[in-house]
Formats: sequence, structure tokens, C-alpha cells
Amino acid sequence: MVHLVDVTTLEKESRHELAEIKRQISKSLRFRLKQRGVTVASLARDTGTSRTAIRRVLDERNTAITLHTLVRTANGLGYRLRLSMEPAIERIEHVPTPSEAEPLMAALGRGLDRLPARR
Amino acid sequence: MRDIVTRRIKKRELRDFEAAETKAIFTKLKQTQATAVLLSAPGLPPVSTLHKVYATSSGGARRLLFFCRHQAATATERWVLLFYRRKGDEIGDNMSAKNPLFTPALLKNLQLAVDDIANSTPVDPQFEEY
Repeated sequence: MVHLVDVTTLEKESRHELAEIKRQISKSLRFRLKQRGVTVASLARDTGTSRTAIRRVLDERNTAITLHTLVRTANGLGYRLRLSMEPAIERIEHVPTPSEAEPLMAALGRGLDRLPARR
Repeated sequence: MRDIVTRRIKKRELRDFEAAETKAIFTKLKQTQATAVLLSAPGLPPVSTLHKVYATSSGGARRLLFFCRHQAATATERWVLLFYRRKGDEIGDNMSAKNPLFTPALLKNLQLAVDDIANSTPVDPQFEEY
């Protein structure tokens, strides 16, 4: 029986999360750029960065950007960037049951089986 | 998927931690468990196991131990919290029989959980579900 979430799965989830974050940020910034009628060149000039760096921020597939460039681009388009962190589950691993604990494990299992399906 | 924290385990293990932190970790864990249950093999009898969870919160690294009751036939899993410790804690760092402190503490917390579940009634449950 496999009940563990292996590290590979969690790494894939991290990559997916990163791609999704970047997709949303790039989408918002591209929308704002269009809405304001600003060009990449003028934004680069206003924020003191290069056009290449701005294009990397706007490219939703490109996750290799610095926080510095991201903040400057967002500020240049009138956004303030806010980051928040959620807890992460790094991994879950099976712990072998000490033999002394087996009777109590069985008792707890029986107790749980007697609980109603859903309170 | 049900995450259960019994009354006395909560008092013993969670008293030094902010409720917002523990709730956030349980919420995140539930999302991860949703992936785990998909990996369960169907058609097997109920099995009880211990799982250690390595979590990171805004307050730092945490090490949790759950008693897990798998009922593959109904795809129901119940996870009962047994330890909620900081990384660096003498039990949190080494949750194995090789740690002389682990087994006695495990037996103590298992007994508390068994008693709380046994003493629960529909009107006075001795546990919370997350």
C-alpha cells in the first residue's frame, strides 16, 4: 500500500505553483501595460531597467526573474507588490511502529472505527 | 479525509503554538493528503500506521506525527495528531525507536488519544476535526 507523498510529487507541485504564480503576475502586468498604453521601451526607461528584463517579467513562461525587477516593473505600472507565505508540507514519511505501541495502535483504530461517518 | 486532534493531545502538544499557525498547517496538510489518498491501493483491509510530517510555517520548521487509520475499502482515512513539535525538539528531531525518549512519549500520547476517543459522546466529543 502506498500512502506517502514522495518528494518528487512535492517538487512537481512546487514547479506547478511557481508557474501558476508567474502566469498570474505576468497576465496582470500585461493587462495593465495595455490599459495604460505603455510600451516596453518606455517602461524600461521609466524603471531604469532593460527591455529584455521587462520582457522576461511579462513572459508568463519565464520564471527566472529577480524580485528586484519584478517590484520595479510592478511599481512602474502603478502596482505595489505584496507577498504572503503559506505553510508548506515538505514531506510525509512512514514511521515504523514500535512493537510496544501495537496494542494501543489497535485500540485507537477500533475507537476511530466506531466514530460516526461524519459529525 | 479527517484530521482529528483529541482534547488532551491539543492541551499537551499545541499549547505553545498559535492557533492560526496550527490551523494553517492542518489546512495545507489536508490538501497534501488529498493527493496521498489517490495513491492508496483499493481493496485492502483497515491498516494503522504512523506518519511523520515535515512542515514549514511562518513560525519555523515543525515536525508532526500522526496515527493514520486507512480504510481502503471505503477510501476513508483518519489522521490523529500525536506530536506537534519544533525542529530541534528532542522528540521532533528523531521520531524513531532509536530515540529512547520517543517510544515512552508515543505510548503516553497514544493512551491519551485512545481515552479521549473512547470517552467521546455525540453531545460531548473529546476531539476536534480539521
